[in-house]
Amino acid sequence: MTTEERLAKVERELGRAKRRSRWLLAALGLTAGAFALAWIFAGAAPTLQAQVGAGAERVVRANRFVLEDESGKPRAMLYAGKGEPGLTLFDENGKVRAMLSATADGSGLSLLDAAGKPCAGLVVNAGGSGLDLSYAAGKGRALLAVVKSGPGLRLYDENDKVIWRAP
Amino acid sequence: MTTEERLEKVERELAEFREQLAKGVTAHAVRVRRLVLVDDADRERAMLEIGACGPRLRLLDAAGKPRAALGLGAGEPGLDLFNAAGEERAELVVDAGEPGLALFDEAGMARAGLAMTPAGPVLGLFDAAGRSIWSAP
Repeated sequence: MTTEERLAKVERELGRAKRRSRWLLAALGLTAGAFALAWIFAGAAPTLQAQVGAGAERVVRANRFVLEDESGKPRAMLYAGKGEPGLTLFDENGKVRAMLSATADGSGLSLLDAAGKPCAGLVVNAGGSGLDLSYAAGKGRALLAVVKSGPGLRLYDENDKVIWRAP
Repeated sequence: MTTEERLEKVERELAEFREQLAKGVTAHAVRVRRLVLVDDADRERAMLEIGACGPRLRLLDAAGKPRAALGLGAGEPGLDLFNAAGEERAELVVDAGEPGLALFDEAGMARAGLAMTPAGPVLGLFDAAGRSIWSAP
């Protein structure tokens, strides 16, 4: 192969690589949606795996990853808004059912009932850490926490009165 | 354009392209049906996906065993933690509006639980057969 032929080959390959790259970058935006992912993976369900920087760090960067079900409804969102990352899961009715977050006030996990009311919370903040369980119908609460004064477990009735505690 | 000029152009563009790839791909939002993170050995280690019952985040160890999962099971949210054998040892769930924390032994039996029930909060300890050995209130 002559130098001229080798150069022409390199130019062609570079051109193809650049077109692929542009397509991938465009597709990763909001508007192009899942089309690019079909290119990445030929399977029926779009799947995203980092496919860039082969042989080096493979990274896909975004402010938000949205997981959609077959009907196109958002069912999960992994985000980093305003420097506070989190993961939110939605049920098929669009209700938030689980949230995992890390904020300036603390980090935690919240599980919510079908009406969107928080039922279980596991949280760590400046005051300590704790598990908070509450019944959706308002019939009591259980609180297990470790704060500056020490650990404690409290069970409450529907009137928010302590019915059992340790220590 | 001479061969030398073409060669310089190609080399320059290739360098720019490599730099771009090294930085990764940046976007404001990515919409997918499944998101998979792989480790240096190309093993799947984390995935955000739509399971049979709804969305879930799963974390796998190097052997491919599930170690943690946060998701909607049967329409209810929950966090599950697994041991190295992939057996569930702890769960924090909401079931029909009743939240609960359960700790399981190696046989998969619930041995400790803190839960809200229609009658109120309950803390319980259980033997290997699942019989209550202590409870409060």
